[in-house]
Amino acid sequence: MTVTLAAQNAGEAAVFWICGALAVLGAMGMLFSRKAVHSALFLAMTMINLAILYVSLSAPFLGMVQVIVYTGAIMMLFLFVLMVVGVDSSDSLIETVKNQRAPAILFGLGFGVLLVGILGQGTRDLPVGSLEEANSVTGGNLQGLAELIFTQYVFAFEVTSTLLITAALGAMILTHQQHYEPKATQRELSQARFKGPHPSALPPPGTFARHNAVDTPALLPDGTSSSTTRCGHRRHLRGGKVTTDHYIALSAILFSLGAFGMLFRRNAIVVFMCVELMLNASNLAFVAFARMHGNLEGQVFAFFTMVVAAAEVVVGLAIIVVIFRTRRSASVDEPSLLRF
Amino acid sequence: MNVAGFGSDPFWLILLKVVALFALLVVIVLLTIWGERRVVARMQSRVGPNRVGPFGLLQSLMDGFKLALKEEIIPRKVELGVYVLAPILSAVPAFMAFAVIPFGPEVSIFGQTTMLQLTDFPVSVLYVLAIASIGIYGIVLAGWSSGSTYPLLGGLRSTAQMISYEIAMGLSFVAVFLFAGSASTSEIVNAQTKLWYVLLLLPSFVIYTTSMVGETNRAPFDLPEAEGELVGGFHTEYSSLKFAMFFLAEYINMVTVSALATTLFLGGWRAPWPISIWSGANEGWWPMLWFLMKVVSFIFVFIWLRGTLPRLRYDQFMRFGWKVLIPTALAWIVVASVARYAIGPDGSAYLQVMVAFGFSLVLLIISSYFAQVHRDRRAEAHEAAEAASAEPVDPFAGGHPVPPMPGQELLEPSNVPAVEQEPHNA
Repeated sequence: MTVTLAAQNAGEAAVFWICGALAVLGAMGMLFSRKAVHSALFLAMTMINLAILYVSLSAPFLGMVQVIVYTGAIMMLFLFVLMVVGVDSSDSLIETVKNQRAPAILFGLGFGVLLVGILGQGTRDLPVGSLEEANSVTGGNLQGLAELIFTQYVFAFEVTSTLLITAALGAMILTHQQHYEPKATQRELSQARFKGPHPSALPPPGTFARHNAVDTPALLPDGTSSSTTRCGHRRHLRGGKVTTDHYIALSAILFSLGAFGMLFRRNAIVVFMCVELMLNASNLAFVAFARMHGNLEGQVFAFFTMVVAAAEVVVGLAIIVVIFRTRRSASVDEPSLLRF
Repeated sequence: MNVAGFGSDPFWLILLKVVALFALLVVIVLLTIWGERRVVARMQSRVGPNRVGPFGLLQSLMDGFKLALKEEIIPRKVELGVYVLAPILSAVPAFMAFAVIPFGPEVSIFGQTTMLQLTDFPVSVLYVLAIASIGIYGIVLAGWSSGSTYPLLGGLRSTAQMISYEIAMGLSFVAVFLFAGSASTSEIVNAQTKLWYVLLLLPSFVIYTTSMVGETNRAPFDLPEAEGELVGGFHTEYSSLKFAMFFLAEYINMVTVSALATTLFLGGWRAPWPISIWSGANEGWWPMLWFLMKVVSFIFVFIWLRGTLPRLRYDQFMRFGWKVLIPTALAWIVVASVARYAIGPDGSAYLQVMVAFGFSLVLLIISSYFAQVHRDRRAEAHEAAEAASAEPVDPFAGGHPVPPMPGQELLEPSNVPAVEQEPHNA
């Protein structure tokens, strides 16, 4: 390799400051956009930026898995459920629990300050390790991870895979609706159609229909949506070295943003996205520590976190869909009764 | 974390490769669109475009100009930001995925020895998968932001479709990784020096080629844009240059999955058998020709499929993905990993494993025949028993209507008024 160490450091610093800033912006966008689909998009942006950070922390496999699993599958599932339960499910601004919002904001901000402060104090000037050695023992990052997962952590691997299968089955059972009659075949359907009064198609629900189109807002548009454009916020690039505490600080910021959102948002799906953000933040810390200590176990942990997150999302979204079916709402305030 | 032979190019060479790759992709897309129209026309006893340029070759270029100059119609109900973002999110990843595809071995460009490949890293096949999953966002968001029903349905369909078929696609890579011992494209090509994986791992190849048609939204799996049901699917509300970007992305994706299939299963840039006897076939710039020939033949199959097969119904398509492709892929991974373990790292027990494999295959075919005979007999007996016992149930017997249990048949109710037809334009 002809790339010098200094150039590598400068490159890593650039990646950190650009992707870190974009990740935080994405997290804030997720918190403050009114529409749930915008929240999902901002979260996807955060996740992709975290994936780039993983690659620069010499965890290429984890970076790719982050994009495939989180952006490609989990966020896609979020979007899918959002479209099923109504794309206009924006938050109501009515406080159901009296005087909950002000303390929520206060505690959220306080928690963030506390977390960033403590981590900033405790992790000052952590050394930067290198994974080159750990990666080269078994022939590469992929091989090294595989060796750890299938030897030392094989039990955890089996347990998480059981969890994943159980979650998938659970989601299927939760959302399953029983058919009491056999499903009509295409032949029967078309026969019924030609016997009925409308052999041709019914008039389609157009853009201007008030209630028939799935995507036409049921409520009147309540003002302009906050179009959080991300422009003009470019940080100036430092040539200095990015140490582990930079990553920990970024992770703390993202984690407290997630915690803040959990207290602050009403839409169950957005609250779920905040949980995902917190898990992602802890993954970033794992990957950063893995490089600091120069062994791959942190990456293994991040891998397991992703599997558990996938399982959790599957079941959680299934529950949201079931609640939506009975209550016609995706707000966390609605299902306050366990039986109805 | 670098693969041997990469990461040492000077800046001007990287720039040259990027520009060349971009130009190559655009030209291939133009030719593919022209070829598709000509080939499909031929299959339908028509002539196809033959006016602009020799054999009509410049037709798609002119169509591109026309599309770019057309009036742009943006419906009133769209979510403008996302609406503009969607075609970009669709087109950019399509170009990015090609960065890791190897076109050939080491060549010399202006005195600089370099690989005929933009870059490579240990997980580059997974990189293609990751980039593809970002490209899906373009389609889903286009459907959502258009603010109308048909695009939304198209977007929803493609979400479910891509998630399902990506699983099968990812599983089909596993056997290749096991046998090549790497997930980097250049090393997978190197591992196929002796034998192409299409012969060694035929089930993986079949699963990959099936799911790649689903992944690129091409006929017979083009449900997100089924024009018979959904007008234009996710791009119904798009016009002018934004529509052109979706069009471009679809064709580039077709080229990308074909190139990946070539790399993983058809030996990448390695010359096919009769030519490979010539010792110079795998050196210099020749491999690029073999590579492009293989890619073009895949594209021809894509076009052939479109000209031949009718579109699947959506539930049939999903059932096929989840109940046939994924279980088959999982079973095949088990078989392949056992075989890989039995062969051993040095490949000493190769012949024995192959004989055992063929023997068990024959056993499987014979036993499945007998299982089928047995099943037929049981089904006949079951039908006979059911015909004897089927008796309609009166749902109002207890005074309160009850739904029928599975398998029960309802007595036609006589006192229920006919369901009133709702006036449809109220």
